[in-house]
This record gives sequence, C-alpha cells and structure tokens, in this order.
Amino acid sequence: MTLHRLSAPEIAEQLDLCFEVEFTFIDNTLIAQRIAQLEPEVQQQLLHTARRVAASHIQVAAQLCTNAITTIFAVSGGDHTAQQAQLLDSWADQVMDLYDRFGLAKSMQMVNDFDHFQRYQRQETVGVSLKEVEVRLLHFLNGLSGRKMKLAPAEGEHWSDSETIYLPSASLLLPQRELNRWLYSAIVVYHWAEARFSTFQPPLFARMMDASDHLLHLFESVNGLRLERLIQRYLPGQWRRMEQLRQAEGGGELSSDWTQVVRLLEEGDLSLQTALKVTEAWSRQLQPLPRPCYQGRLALSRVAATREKRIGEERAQFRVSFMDYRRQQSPPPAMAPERETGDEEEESDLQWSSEQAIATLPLQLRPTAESIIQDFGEIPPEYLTAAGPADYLLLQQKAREEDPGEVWGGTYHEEGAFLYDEWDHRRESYRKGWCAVRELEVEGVEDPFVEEALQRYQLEIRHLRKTFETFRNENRILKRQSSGDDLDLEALVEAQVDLRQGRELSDQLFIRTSRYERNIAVAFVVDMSGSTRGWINDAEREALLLMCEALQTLGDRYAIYGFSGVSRKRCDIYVIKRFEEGYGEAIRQRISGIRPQDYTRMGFAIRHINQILNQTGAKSRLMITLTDGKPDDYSDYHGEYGIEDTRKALLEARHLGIHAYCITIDEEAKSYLPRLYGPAAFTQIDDPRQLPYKITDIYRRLTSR
Amino acid sequence: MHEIEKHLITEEPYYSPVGEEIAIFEASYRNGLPVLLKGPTGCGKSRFMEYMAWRLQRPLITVSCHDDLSTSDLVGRFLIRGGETVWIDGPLALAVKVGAICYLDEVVEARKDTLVVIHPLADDRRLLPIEKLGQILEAPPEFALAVSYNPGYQSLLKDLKQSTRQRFVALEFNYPEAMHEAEIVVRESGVDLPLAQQLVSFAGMTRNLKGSGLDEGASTRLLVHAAKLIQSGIAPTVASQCAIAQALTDDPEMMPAIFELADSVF
Repeated sequence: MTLHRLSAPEIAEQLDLCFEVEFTFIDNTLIAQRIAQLEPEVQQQLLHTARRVAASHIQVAAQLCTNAITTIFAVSGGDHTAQQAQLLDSWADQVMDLYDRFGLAKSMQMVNDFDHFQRYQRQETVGVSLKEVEVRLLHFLNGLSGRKMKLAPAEGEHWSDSETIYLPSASLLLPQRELNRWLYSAIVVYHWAEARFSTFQPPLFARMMDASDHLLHLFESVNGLRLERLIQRYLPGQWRRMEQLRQAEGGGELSSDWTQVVRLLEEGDLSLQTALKVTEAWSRQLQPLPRPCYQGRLALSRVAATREKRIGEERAQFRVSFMDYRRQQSPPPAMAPERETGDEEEESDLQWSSEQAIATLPLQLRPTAESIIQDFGEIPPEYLTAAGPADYLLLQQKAREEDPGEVWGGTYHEEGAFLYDEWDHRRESYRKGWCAVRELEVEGVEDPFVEEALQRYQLEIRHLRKTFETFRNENRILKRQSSGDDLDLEALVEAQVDLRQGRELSDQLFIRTSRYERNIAVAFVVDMSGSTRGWINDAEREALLLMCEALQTLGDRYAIYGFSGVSRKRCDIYVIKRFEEGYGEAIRQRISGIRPQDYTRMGFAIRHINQILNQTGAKSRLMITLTDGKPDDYSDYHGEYGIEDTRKALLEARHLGIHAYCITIDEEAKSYLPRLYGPAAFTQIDDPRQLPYKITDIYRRLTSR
Repeated sequence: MHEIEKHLITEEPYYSPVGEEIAIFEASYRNGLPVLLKGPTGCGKSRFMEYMAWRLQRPLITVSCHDDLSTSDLVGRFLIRGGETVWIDGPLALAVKVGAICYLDEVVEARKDTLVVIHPLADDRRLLPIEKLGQILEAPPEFALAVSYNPGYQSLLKDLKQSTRQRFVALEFNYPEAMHEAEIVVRESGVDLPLAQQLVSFAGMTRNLKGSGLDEGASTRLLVHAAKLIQSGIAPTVASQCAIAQALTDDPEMMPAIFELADSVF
C-alpha cells in the first residue's frame, strides 16, 4: 500500500493530539511544516516515534522530533533508508531509558547532543554494555572464592569498596568487541583479587590513609603488580587475558627497577606487608606506572567506611554463631583458643590464617570466617570469646534495619526490593526494573471471625472434605499391558484361545495399577485493594478459609498471597501462606488479618507469583486470582496501560507453563477479562457471598483430569 | 546360584575413605542394620557400595529407583512362559534369598507406597512378605539393605517418610577436601597432580555457585570425566566445558559464566 504524503495541517493536528497542546501550549506549526516536506514513510515513522516518546515525556518527544529532522533526516531529498529508521528508533530508546533511570535533564542532554548519541552508536559496534554482561559477570564473580561481592553501575571510573564492584555502564576502550568483553571480566577479577588477597587489612589504612598522592599512586602500582602475580598463580587463564588487554592498549615492558620490585614482592611471598615496605623504600626512585585498563583507583576512605560497618556486624554475627556452635558441641571443637590446655594438636589447629582452618568450621560459619580473614588475615582472638550483650543488640538492630516494613518509614527507595519490569504498551517496550516489590507478612489477628466462619460453613466443609477425599489418589487400572503387577485374566484367556487356533500370542497380558499423583502447586492471589472493603473482604476471607480446609484433605501444595500498592515504588506482596508453611492456627489468623489496603496494580503481583510458582517444580502450576475490579493504581496505572501490562504479565505466566485463572466480582469484567485471561479462564460472580461456594467448585473443576 | 555370581565383585574397586564410613558400615552389617547414604550426586556413594560389597565378599544388587517403580518390580511377578505362568523373583527377593547386599539408589525417586515393602525388612524382623505367593522370606545374616539419596535437590514432593528414614543408620557423604579430591582425580584418570588441582579448584568455583544459579556444583565424578578427556588429548578448557559446564546447566547466562571460570583457571 502506498502512503500518501500528509500536509502540514494534517500533521499539526496529529502532533497537537500527541503533545496535548491544550495543556502544554507547544507550538507545532514549525515542526509540522518541516515534517510535511519529508517522504511519507519518514512522516509516519516520526509521528509513531513522537507518540512512543510522548508516553514518557511530551517535551522530550517534541524536542526529539525537531532534532531528528535536522540531524538524521537532514540530507536533502530525504531518502528514507532502513538505517535512518533504525537510528531514530535506537535514539528514542536510549532517550527513554535515560529518562526512566536518571530523569528529564539527562534525557534532554541526549536529545540535544546528536553527536554524543552518534559517538555512542559508533561505539556500540565495538563496545559492550554492562547490561549485556551483568548477569554473566555476577555468576562469574559468585563462582570465585571468598567474600560474596555485588556489582553495581559506576557513575565514572570503576572502583570497589571491598563489598561491591562499581562498573562503568559500557566498556569501549579497546578496539575489538571481544577485548571489551574481556575487559569487564578483568576489572571484576582485579577488584575481587584486591579484596581476596588481603589488600584492605589494617596495615594499609595505618600507612596509606594520610599518605601523599605520590606515595598512594606508587602503592597502587606496586600492589597492582602483586595482585597480577597472585592472579597468575591462581587464575593463569585470566592472567593471560589481562596480558593481552595490556598489549592491546599499548602497555610496554617493565623497566629494570620495576622488575626488581617484582622480584622483591615474590621474595616476600606477595604479601601486603612486602608491598607496603617496597613502596616506602622505593618512593624516591620510582614514578607510578600508568594504570592498566582493568586497574581502578583505590578508594581508601570509602573502603574504610564499608569495612568499619562490616567488621562490627560480622564480629557480632561470628561471636554469636560460634558460641551457639560451641554450646552444641561436646567436647568443644579443637579450634577454640584454649591455649592453656597446652595440647600440641590444638595448638596447631589455631592457625586461623590458613584455608584448612576455615574448612574445620561448620558450614554456616565459613562465609563469615572467610570474610573476617580477608579483613584481618586471621580470626582475631576476641572473636572467639563469649558473645556479649552488645553483639545481640547489634544483631537485633541489623534485623530491624532489614525489616521490609520499615523501609517506608522514610523516603522511598529500592534497596532490597525485588525489581520487576513493567510493560508500557504506548512505548511498546518494558520499563526496566520499574516496580519495587516487597514481601510483607500479614499480621495474624485473633478475633471471632475464623470461628464464626467455620461454624457457619461447617456443613459445607464436611461436604467438601468428602468430595475432595474421593478426588484424591485416583487409582487407575490399566489393562492389557506388556508388563505389570498382575496377570490380566481376560487377556490371558483370549491369548490361550489365539494360541490354540495357531494365531500369534499377544504380549499384552498384564494389569498395571497406575496411581495418578496430583503434582499440583496452586497460588491464590488475593486483591487487597481499598475497594474490597466490607462485604468483599469478608467474602474473600471466608472463601480462603473454606479453600484451605478443603485443600487440607486433598494434599495439593498451595500458597496464598495478597497484593496491593501505591505507585510503582511501593508494590506490596502480602504473605498469607507460603508453599512450605503448613495450615494451622497461625495461617487462619493471618487470613483473618487480611485487610483492604491501597490500589490494584496487578502486573508486578503476577510477575512475582510467577517466580514463586516457577520455583516449586510442580508439574501443574496454577495461579488463581481473586479480584473485584480491573487493574488500577494511583498515578499512571489506569485503563489501557494497566490492562496491557497485566495482559503481558499473564502472557509471561503462560510462557512459563503457569495456568492463570481469575475469579472476579466486577460486573464489567466481561469487557476486559477475555483479553487478559482468555474467554474460558475466568468466572464472574454476581454476589460476593457466593464466592466461598464457587471457589472450591472452580478449583475442583480446574484440577480434575 | 549361577545367576547371582554375576553380581559378585571380584576386583577391588578404588575407594578412598573420607572418614569412618567403612568401619560404620561394617558394624551396621554385623548387626543387621540397614544403611542410608546421604550426599550430593557423584561424590562416591555408589562406589562406596561396590567397595563394601567387595570387602564383605557379598554380591551387590543395585536397583536404580524411579517414579514408576512398583512393588512387583522389587519383589517379583508372574510371567507367562510357554503357556504357563512362572514366578520370577525381583531384585530384592533375590538378594534376600541369596544373602546379597541390595542397594536402592536414589530411593526418594520411588513412590512412597512402593517403599513400604522394605519396612519389615529394615527393622529387627528382617522379613520380606511376598503377597502373591503367600510366602514370607526371612533374611539371612549375610543380607544387607542400603539406600541412597541426595538431600540437596529434593523438592518438597520428594522426601523420605519419617517411618522409612527412621529405620536406617545414616552415613553422610560429601566432596572430599581439595587435596584428597585431587588425589582421587589423579588415581582415577591418570592426569598429573597440578592439573588435577586446577580441576578441583574449578569444581570449587562451581560449588560456590550452588544456590546462586546452580542446583549443584561439579561432582567428583564430573572431574574424573574431564580429567579422562584431558588425558586423551582434549584441551583442559574444552574438556571442562564439555564434561563439567555443559553437564551442570543449560542456562544461557550461567553457561558462559562457567566457561569463563574454566578459561580463568587453566
């Protein structure tokens, strides 16, 4: 189909709508005139891009269109090539990504600096972005021994605080893509080695904290050589790659003085002490070496701050766990510092600095012990004495700090939350890590609700138990099998007849009992939005109670989660019953404690439950959602946006092999639920009071064979 | 008796003890107590059983359990032969009759109702009822029952019932210490010690990943496989990729990370 060229007024009309000029007062006349001169394909693409970007921010979209005309489509004649189209798409993606992550200023910067974007584009061909390799790098880092470290994006150069390695968002320094990929691994290995091979131990801070820049940079070079030799010893393959990286960036041979330094380091068994001694002794003769691309600057003050926090926590943790362990042991383990016993063997076990010493500790203590040894080179003797009240206090404080409920006490932040993507149908892409999801426990409530409900439904419960009982352990007898537990007499008689008549004897003469094992995991996802207040909330709670009573008989694995939230930063999953928890008084009280909360943002809940269901390993995984209305949230999660995101989340569920079913009391459900769940995967109930009866019935129907 | 001779182990299998497992097994055997071997896959449970069977000079009958395993598969069943029904003993009945060691490998894979048949055999009665024949076999003192399972990857579904597990003497197995494991790799494959140590160090890295992306780290068995490939002329990195990394996971993000760990070590 050939497209017709749009006139300026036609374009202006579309842009007015897209940029909401009624409110924004953006003057589209000039842009429309310029777009009118372009080829029809370009016109369509620009308008489409304008709509996509305007979904994030209207000003950004308007500016991007203006700039695209003067840059990408500036060539006279305006030949619309696939390359131009791709360029515009990736410019728009990049800008939207920056807007999501850093806000308006950064994204406008990218919109206004086409050269910067083009440089970025050119580097795309040889560069590697952190996003591409992040997961792989994290697995790689986890595989290396020692303290578990984390990865995070750095704003500038790469560095480490001894717990987290901060990496640049792209690696572009080297001329080939493969080398840039290696560079990321080399940076990770280098910073890992810094922490692993005892760089950050007390003597470093004592001697370098207030040292001159020259001395500190010289130490960086000496320590760099020490770490490289250690990497060569423990990870020879990685060291060879580092050599290649150095050559690729034009690194030369070491001078004779520096070769002498390496020799001294090796004679001193590559220890930190030797590196410090050599640095101080040679500080007048030597100038720091140029830093190889994988070596970062030492951020001493930041390492010291992280270390101080960690040491307090780990000391408390180690002392408390070690004392617990000793109490359980009889007699106490040999590695306790009972020097006064004078036992030769015990003395030799006190060599904490060696890896063997760690190996003698119980498994749960080893990671902390490893981390402590990285900080001190040994387990300091005071760590092995009885834990004082201060340690317990510190642990309690730490537990309080990590209480997910507390996070919302101050400003919103995402620390420790699960981050889930959200689908933006207008942009036709996911917003990365958009929803900050936290699991909160529902407080159990001791009130007469449970008792009253069980009383009211006692007849139904008895009936349900009976029906579910027959439903359990379906034994099927398979006749005429080639092997089995018993002879199939009927088949045997027929076979004898066949045999007498000279026909071939069948081998299918056995009966086999096949027991159909219900390998089902079901998650009930309950809408806890504010609109469920009153009757609906009561009906939901009653329905869940009845369901639990019935499922007890059936033995299927089940979990119950509630969801609600205010905006993407506060998406709450309420844990009512986890899969591994047994049904009992505590769960009944939690069901009773279900209270209406805020809004119905639904996508994150489905995505989170997807993950949980996926971990159960059950053959059939089922997600049953109880809701009273369509997805809807406080700020942006209205109408089509919410429906489309929920639909995408449900498609993800289907992709994972999870069956999703919805029970709703929304009278308008038929207008949107078929699009979400498919025509046959939801039930609309007119009266909430019917819910307890319906849910068990639906469950039975869904899970029978 | 001819049939059972196939199950006798004539040559001493290589087994390097980690703790007191040999003494404990022998003591259990003398007292007629069944044994439960717990441990991750490929850490030497089955080899230990072969070694003990050789040491005690008893035939070893191994049954690999699966979720279709029925009681008849263990005890025996009628078959049709030449127009007549004949009873054929299952491996468990055979082991009881001849006083062999019966080893049920990965016992949790079997259905819970199937396992009930070993209950009278695994307590002080030491009896095996054969319902279809109306017989009850009494186990001779030479008979021993051993089962194994891997507690590491058990889902909620697959766990031993308390009534089953509380009949056994339990022996816990784990991967040997680094040096010991390297010696085992040398002995099993013939590679030199430094290379075996590198392989063990690589295995350690994959074991660090257990729980953060991998269900299990590399077993000693996989190390021996890789070492054998290396001994036959395959490059160490390639051998580690094929025999270890690929065997551990299919995850498209995890696999390159493990490849890279292998590249770093060799």
